[in-house]
Amino acid sequence: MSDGVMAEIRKDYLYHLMLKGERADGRALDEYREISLDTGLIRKADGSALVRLGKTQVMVGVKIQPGEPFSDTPDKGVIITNAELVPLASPNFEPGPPNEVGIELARVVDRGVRESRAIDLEALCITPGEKVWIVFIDVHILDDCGNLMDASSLGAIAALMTATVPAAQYGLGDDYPLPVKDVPVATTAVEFGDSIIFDPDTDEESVADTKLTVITTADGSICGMQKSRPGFISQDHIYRIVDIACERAKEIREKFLEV
Amino acid sequence: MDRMDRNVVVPGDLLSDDPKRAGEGTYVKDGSVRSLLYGMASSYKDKVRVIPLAGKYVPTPGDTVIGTVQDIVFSNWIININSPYEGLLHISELPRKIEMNEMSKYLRIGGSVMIRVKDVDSTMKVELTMNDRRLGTLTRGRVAEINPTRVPRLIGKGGSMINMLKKELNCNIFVGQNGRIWVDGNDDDMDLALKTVLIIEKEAHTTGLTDRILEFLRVEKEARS
Repeated sequence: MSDGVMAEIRKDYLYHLMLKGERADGRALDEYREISLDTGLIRKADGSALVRLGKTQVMVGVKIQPGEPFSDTPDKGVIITNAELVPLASPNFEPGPPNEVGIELARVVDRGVRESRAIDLEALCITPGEKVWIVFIDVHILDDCGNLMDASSLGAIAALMTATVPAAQYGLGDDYPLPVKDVPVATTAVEFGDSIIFDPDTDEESVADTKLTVITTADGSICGMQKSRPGFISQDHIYRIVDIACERAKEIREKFLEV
Repeated sequence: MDRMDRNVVVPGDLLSDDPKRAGEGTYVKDGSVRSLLYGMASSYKDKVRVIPLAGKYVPTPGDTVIGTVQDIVFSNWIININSPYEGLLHISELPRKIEMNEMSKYLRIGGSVMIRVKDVDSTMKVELTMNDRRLGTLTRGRVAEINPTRVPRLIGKGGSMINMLKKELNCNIFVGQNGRIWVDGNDDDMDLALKTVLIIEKEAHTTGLTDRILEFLRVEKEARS
């Protein structure tokens, strides 16, 4: 029932459950679905990760190759993040150039990696002004059952942490693991009525007015936030979301990223 | 060669050498009947047929289904019927006459309807009708979704399963052929009904299911009281 218009009686039901502090799939309001993470599945990529968050599935590939730096940052490497929302993943995705959702997703994943300084861009410089390593992060959504932000961000950092810089292939010395200095984890909540629901599934996403993604670093500081959807959100709720987000992010980090 | 017993078959599997026996879910090629689907092959009257184990709902005239209004276009409601094909409900297929500018008053976007498939043409244009006393809009209750191929099991032989559920759960239950189930009753009963429906979906292929469900309901109801 996720495609397009949602039945009103389904909305009523979700609202009714929310008032009782329950969710359609029986989770607690701040409980995540089961997460599984596999890395290094794609041999041709320099780093890859498959994330399953409940029924949501996201594949992230990392490709690293030498190229020209931007002229305003001649001594820094480049990160390019892309998200691919193929029609196979959800009835709501259409073929063609990326839409709003795809661009937002790529930007949030990018923001987490960039603003946490997880990748030391200076270390990716080969010859200043001429040659630097360019890191491509490609997010492929295989199945959208809600909360793509968290799944994609987790996949991106996991793929980067297991990535190898293919220096030998380009005659630039020996291959070495991509240095990753921080572990940003995104945590998403939606506001529905007066409740805050973490790790929303597609139904919950479509009934909510407001969605807030908080990206935290390993030391618990916030390195990025994204508020999606047209609704507004109170200061009080932001603080509450941030508090729980830090906790959940820590759990995910400890469990999957061995930090 | 006939394979009359209940067998799991995949598309292309040989079912019979007699083209006259081709039934539902089969096709005839070079004089032999083969399976069109992944499912269970069985003999039905003098035909062999294949009951699918997986797949989407494909509308057939006469099916009663539950739909959601997706859009309203010139004198038609576009209805999502949980199928790759969307349904069209024309303004004239309502039990009473309404004006075109009143369409959204009667049935707005997001509304749920109990509806019958009137006709499906070769391009899979699905025409729906609400011209029956048992059909209409759904304003209360809840809707759950199961795999459409599990619908026959939920209804049971001659309605045995569904009648048992209605009786035991004190709920009004309607099962659409498209795998959507509408339940109406008091809150706790609806919760239990939806839970039971999901169990039936999961265990549809097992034997003695009706008895086990009955037992499950007894246990649940005792725990509640």
